Amino acid sequence: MVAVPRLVGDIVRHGSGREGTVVSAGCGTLEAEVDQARANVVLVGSDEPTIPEPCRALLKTRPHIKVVVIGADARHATLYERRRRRHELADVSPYRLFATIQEVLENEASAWRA
Amino acid sequence: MAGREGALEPTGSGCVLPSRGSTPHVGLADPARVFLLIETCFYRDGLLRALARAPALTVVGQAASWRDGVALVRERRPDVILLDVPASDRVDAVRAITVALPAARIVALSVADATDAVLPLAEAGIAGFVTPAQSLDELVDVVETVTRGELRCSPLVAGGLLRRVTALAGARGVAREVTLTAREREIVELIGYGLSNRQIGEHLVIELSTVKNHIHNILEKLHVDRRADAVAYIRGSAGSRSGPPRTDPRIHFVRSRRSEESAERVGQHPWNRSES
Repeated sequence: MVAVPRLVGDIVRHGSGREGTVVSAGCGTLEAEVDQARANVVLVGSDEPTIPEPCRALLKTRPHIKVVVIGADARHATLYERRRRRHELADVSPYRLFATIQEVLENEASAWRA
Repeated sequence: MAGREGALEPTGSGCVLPSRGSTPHVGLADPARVFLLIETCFYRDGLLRALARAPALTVVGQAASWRDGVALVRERRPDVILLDVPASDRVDAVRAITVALPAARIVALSVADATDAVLPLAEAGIAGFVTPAQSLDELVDVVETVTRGELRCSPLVAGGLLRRVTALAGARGVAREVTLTAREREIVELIGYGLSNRQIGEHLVIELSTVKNHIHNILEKLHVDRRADAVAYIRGSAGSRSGPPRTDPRIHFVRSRRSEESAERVGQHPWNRSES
């Protein structure tokens, strides 16, 4: 999680269940933090309408990563992935957010297996 | 960026409430009844599940629109309402809920920790607020705090609230005007009519030094530096309690000086007889 409002972060932690662990980013570069945490999803707090540039760069160097950008007021979220695809999630429940991430990851794993 | 944190258990200790104190609404054994009037899906669904694990809270209802939710609030009669609506609707929503269920405590979510964000909501009737930077633990704590009739806020907001109370009291003329004696209020009125200290002394038949003493006390009590500021203060505080003089003392003063001259001739003080 990068620059995510604390209350949003707590709800994500609370709701993520046993499917994974949640780590807040430290002070290193985004790539280093993602590698160290062995993360496959990056949750970014941002009110910008587009994906933040460091995340765009991350998608190029780490194509398996998914980036979810969530507004500071939690009213809007967007999931980005490498293949010029994005999923508008809009006003989303944390549980639908988790389900979508899981679905995207599973689809990708299936594609690799095929 | 935040510091690194390890893996978190999904249950989290975040929703365990500390022991409850006395509360006007909730008994020691009763969980606070909370209603989620939250338009943001992320917060509404997330808090619905998170608060379900807090033993001292019971979620008694939810609504995704504050306009629809007000009727439900009236029906369910919660102790606390967690409110999250767009900033432009907040004041209207708080007022509507306050009218519908005056006893309920409203906690506004996602409010910036800034005086200008909190004051309008405080005036509308919120009992507490949660900033986006606060944790789930703190949100639960805020709910518990407001049920005791207390407010947890930053020193910045506390300072802003105190300044607002002072300004309101000043505007009503409650805080400082009441400390003026009848004589002091009279003197402020005469200053307002443009009379000098000497003229005031002559008008009130007191020594110049006494007038100066009164004015010194007035300025000190009102925390102002100039005579004109004292007048502005009293006029700004909905008028003095003694009410306006029946006649403009400047006219009275000129008339009095003439009367005094004639009175001296007959040996009678002008204020001891009625004026024609």
